[in-house]
Amino acid sequence: MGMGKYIAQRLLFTLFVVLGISILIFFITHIVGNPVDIMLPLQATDVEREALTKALGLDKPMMEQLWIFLRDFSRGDFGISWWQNRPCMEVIMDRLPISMWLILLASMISVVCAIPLGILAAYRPGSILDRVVTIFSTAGICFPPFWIGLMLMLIFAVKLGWLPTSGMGTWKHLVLPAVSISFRPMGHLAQIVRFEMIQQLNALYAVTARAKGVTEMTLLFKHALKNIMTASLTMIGNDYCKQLGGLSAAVEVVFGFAGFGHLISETIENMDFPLLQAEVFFVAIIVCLINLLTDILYAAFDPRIRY
Amino acid sequence: MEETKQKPILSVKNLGTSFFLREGEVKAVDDVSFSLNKGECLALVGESGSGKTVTALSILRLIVWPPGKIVSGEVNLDGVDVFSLPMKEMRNVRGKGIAMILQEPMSSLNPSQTIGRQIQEAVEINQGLKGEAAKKAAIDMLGVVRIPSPEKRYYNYPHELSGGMKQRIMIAIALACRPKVLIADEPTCSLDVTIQAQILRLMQQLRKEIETTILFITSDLGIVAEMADRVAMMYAGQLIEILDVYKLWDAPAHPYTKGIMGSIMAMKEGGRLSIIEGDPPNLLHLPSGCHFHPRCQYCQDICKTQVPAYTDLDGDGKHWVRCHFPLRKDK
Ligand SMILES: Nc1ncnc2c1ncn2[C@@H]1O[C@H](COP(=O)(O)OP(=O)(O)OP(=O)(O)O)[C@@H](O)[C@H]1O
Ligand code: SF4
Ligand SMILES: [Mg+2]
Repeated sequence: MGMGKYIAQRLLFTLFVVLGISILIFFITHIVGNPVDIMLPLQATDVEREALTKALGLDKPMMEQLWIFLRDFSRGDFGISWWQNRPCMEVIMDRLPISMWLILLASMISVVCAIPLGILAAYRPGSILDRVVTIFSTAGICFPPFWIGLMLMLIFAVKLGWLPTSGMGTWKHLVLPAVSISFRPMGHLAQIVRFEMIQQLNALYAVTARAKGVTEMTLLFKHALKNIMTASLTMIGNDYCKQLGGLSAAVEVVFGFAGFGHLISETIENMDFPLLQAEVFFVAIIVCLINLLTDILYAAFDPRIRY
Repeated sequence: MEETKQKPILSVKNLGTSFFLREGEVKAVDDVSFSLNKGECLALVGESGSGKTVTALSILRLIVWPPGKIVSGEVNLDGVDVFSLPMKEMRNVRGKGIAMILQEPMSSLNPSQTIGRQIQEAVEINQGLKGEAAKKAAIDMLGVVRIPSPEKRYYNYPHELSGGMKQRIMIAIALACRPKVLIADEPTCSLDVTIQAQILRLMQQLRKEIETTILFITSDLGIVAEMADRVAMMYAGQLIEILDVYKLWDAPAHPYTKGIMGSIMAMKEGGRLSIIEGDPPNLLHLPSGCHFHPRCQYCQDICKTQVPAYTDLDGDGKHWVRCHFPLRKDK
C-alpha cells in the first residue's frame, strides 16, 4: 500500500472517530441534564422555560436533534457560549492557536534537552552522569509545573527582570510558561531515551558494529539514534495531546496566559456546556491528527513499517 | 604454552572472563590458552554454554561490564598486545585485525539501515575507501558471498532477507574488513540443514580464495572435519584439549573428547547414541578439581582436588590436554 492511500485511509478513520465522539458528546450532554434547568434561574416561570426549550430545539424528537447537532458541528457551528455570549467557535479560535504554539515550543524544548540527556545517561549506565540525569529527570516529573513556573517567574522575571512576569503578546511572554510546561515531558522523554538507548547499545547489532571497528559515537548517532525514534515520537505525541487537553491550565493561570488550558478550566467553572462540547471536540480532532502524524513519521525511521 | 616453529598470528594466553552475577561469579572462560598460525583454521568446539562465544568476544574486548569482565590473560595479535591498548585504539584491532561473524544472523544486523550501507561502513572504516568506491566495494562483497543481483540487494533492509541471506551479509561484513583473523561463531547453527550446507560450502570456498586465518566456533563436530586443521575442545569454560583434526577420530586423549567422539561414531554406525552420562556442568557450582570428574569414568582421587594443568602429550607442542590421566592410543 502506498503512503498516499494510507494517509487517505487514516483520515477517513479520523473522520469516523470524530463522528463517534460528536455523537457521544451529544448523548452525554442529554444524560447530564436538561440545559434549560442549568441556564435559567430557579424562579423562572413555565413560559420562560418553554420559550428557551423551543429556542434550543429541545422539543424536537431526539433523532432530529442529533441530526441538527451533527449538521451544525460539521459546519463549525458549535452554538453560542452561554458564558461569553458569542459563538463558541470564536471563543476557541481566540485561545486555541496560541496554546498550540506554546505547547509546541514546550515540546521542542523538552526534545532538545531530553535526547542529549538520555544519551549521556545511557552511554555509561550507573555512572555519576547517569545518576545526575536520573535525579534531574525525576525532579522534572515530580515537581508540579505551576510551582516550577512560579520559581522561574521569581528568578527570571522578578529578580533578574529578563522576561515579563505575565501576560501575552510577544515571544518573550511564551518563554517562561513554555519552559515550565517542558519539564515534565522532558523528564519522561529523557527516561525513555535512556532506557531505549541502553537496549540499543546492548543489542547484537551493536556488537556487530563494534566488531567491524565502528566507534561508540558513530554507533550512538548513526545507528542507535534512528532506532529509538519511534518510541520517542510516541512519547512526544502523547505528551503534546495531554498538555493540550488541559494539563497546561495551571501554568497558563500562573502566567496570566489566556490560552486553551486556561479556557477549559474557566468553561468548567462557568458550567458553559456548549463551549465545553466544542473544546472536547477540538481536542479529539487534534489528538487524532497528531496520532496520524506520528504514525506517518514512524515510517521515516523504521523501514519495517510499510503502509 | 604452545611452541610451534612459526610465530603465531594470534595467541591467547591464560584468558579468564567472568560474569559477576547476584548469585556469584560465573567463570565463563577460565585459563584458556591457544594460538593460531597464519592461514590455518582452528575449530573451537564445545557444548552450549562452554564459553566459546565469550572467548571470542573477550579477544575483541567486547565483553560488557557489568556484569562481564576480563579478569586475566593476554591476547597478542601479530605482535600487538591487545589488552594493553587504550580503548580508542581498539578500532585498529577490531575489523582490520580481527573480524567476527556473530552467532545470531537474525538480530545481528541493524534493522534500520540497508545491508549495503552496513557492508559499506566496514569497507570505509577498514579499507579506507570513500563514496562511490566504497559503495562499489560493498556491492562486490555481496557478489563474493553469492548474493544474486547485488546492485539491487544493496538497498535491501535486513527484514527483507531470509536467514541464510542474512548470514551471507554477516560474512560479507566480516570479509569487507579484510581481517588478519576471522572469527566465525557458529555461522550455521540457526539455519536449516540445506542452507547450513550452502553457507559451509561458501565458507570453504572463501577460505581458499582469501586465505585468512580462521577461528571457527561450532558445537557440531561433523562440520569440524570439513573446515578445520586443528581442534580446540572446551568444557565448562576451560580448554581441555587441542589437537590436529585427524587425531580427533584417531587418538583423542581427554576422556570428554573421547566420549563425544564415541557418541558420534555410534550415531554414524547407526548404533545407540551414547551421550556422556551425568549432568552438564553448572558454571555457578563447578565441581572441584577437574570440572569433568563427576562424569568421568577414569576419575581418581587427585582429579577431585587438583585442577589438571596443560600437558604436552607428544612433546612436540601439537597435542595439548588438560587431564591427570590422558588416554594414549598405544597404552
Ligand atoms: N551476558 C551474560 N551475562 C551472564 N552470563 C553470561 C553472559 N554471557 C554469557 N554468560 C555465561 O557464560 C557462559 C558461556 O556462554 P557462551 O555464550 O560463551 O557459550 P557458548 O559456548 O558460546 O554456547 P552456545 O553454543 O550456546 O553459543 C554461559 O553459560 C553463560 O552462563
Ligand atoms: S583429570 Fe581425571 S576426572 Fe578429569 S578428565 Fe582426566 S581422568 Fe577424568
Ligand atoms: Mg555461542
